[in-house]
Amino acid sequence: MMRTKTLLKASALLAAAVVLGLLTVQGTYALWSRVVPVEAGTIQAADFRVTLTDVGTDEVVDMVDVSGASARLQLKPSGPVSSTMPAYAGLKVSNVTDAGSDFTVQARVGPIPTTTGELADYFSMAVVAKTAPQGTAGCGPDDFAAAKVGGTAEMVLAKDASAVFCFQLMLAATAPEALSGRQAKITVPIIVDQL
Amino acid sequence: MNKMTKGAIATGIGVALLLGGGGTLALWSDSELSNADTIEAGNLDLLLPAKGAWSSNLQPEITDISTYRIVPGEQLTYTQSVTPVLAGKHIKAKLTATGPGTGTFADKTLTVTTVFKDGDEVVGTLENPLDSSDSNKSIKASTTFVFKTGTSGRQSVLAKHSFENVSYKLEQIAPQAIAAQ
Repeated sequence: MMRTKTLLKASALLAAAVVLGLLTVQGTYALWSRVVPVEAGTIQAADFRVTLTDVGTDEVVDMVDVSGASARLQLKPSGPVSSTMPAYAGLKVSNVTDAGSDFTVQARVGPIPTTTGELADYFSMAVVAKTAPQGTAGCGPDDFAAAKVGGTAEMVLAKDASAVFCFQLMLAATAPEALSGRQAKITVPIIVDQL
Repeated sequence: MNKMTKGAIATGIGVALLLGGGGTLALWSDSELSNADTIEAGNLDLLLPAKGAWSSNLQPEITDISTYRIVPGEQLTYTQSVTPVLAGKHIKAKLTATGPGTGTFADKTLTVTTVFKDGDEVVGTLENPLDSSDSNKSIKASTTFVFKTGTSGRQSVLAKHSFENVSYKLEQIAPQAIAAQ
């Protein structure tokens, strides 16, 4: 009886070892197969690259720096602003992507430009988009003949295309004379989306 | 020991030697050729007659994928003819692509799928395996890489995806025993 039990144990152990071996090796069950490399190469995503240029100084920055942070470009207006003489600034936006296919973007001036400084309550700004063919020219009164003060603007740029946002800065007639010579800063967000 | 005993022992030894010699004691026998002919194994192979080509849903032809840059919403397709070689009365095989490849695209921004077609019919699946009647046919393999429109911000900008470790695999499906059919 004792011997039969030992034999059964040994058989069970052997069977378990065989099953485990088959499961581990796997290939034991394999049939014919043939594997051929595809050799399709490597796909690379494009760079979503937009540059901003101060039309007044020709200073250029990438809209996003190497760390992924939004760039800041300080525009130089055409001159001092008064209640009777607006100042103008221009920002050229260029779609310089390396995309292989068509790649159209929409650039727009953000909805809430913020003004800081003592003149904040008296400043206003109008913006208009100038597209081709005169897209890269400077900005002046002619560009705002039909523009509404405080308005926003947008432009559609195909690959390798550029256009200019023209800004008109105005000082209210009610601005106290005591603020003469003071400065104000207007922060205008530019938002670019792929279309 | 008398002479009779000696003679008996010598005879016994002689018989034993005869038994050790084997065939000396052979009985009747006969042999015939089986006429079973020769068994020959079938074949399974996969050939790529020519290099494939990339195309885009936004641009029909891409001459050099190494300089091409993909954008969200774009779908690239690598099309290649593959030729299965299948010999054997009961051979059946499935055709697959091994893996989607590797790269730095964010997982949620891409999908990679491969389908094999004979004309408009999807073939090489478990449901519609290839067999010897498909041998030497030109099967169209299409691997599609979708850069999803749901990609946001600057996600996966300049990302890469390599197909270096991707292969086509023609794999035999186990034949079913007649009794089981």
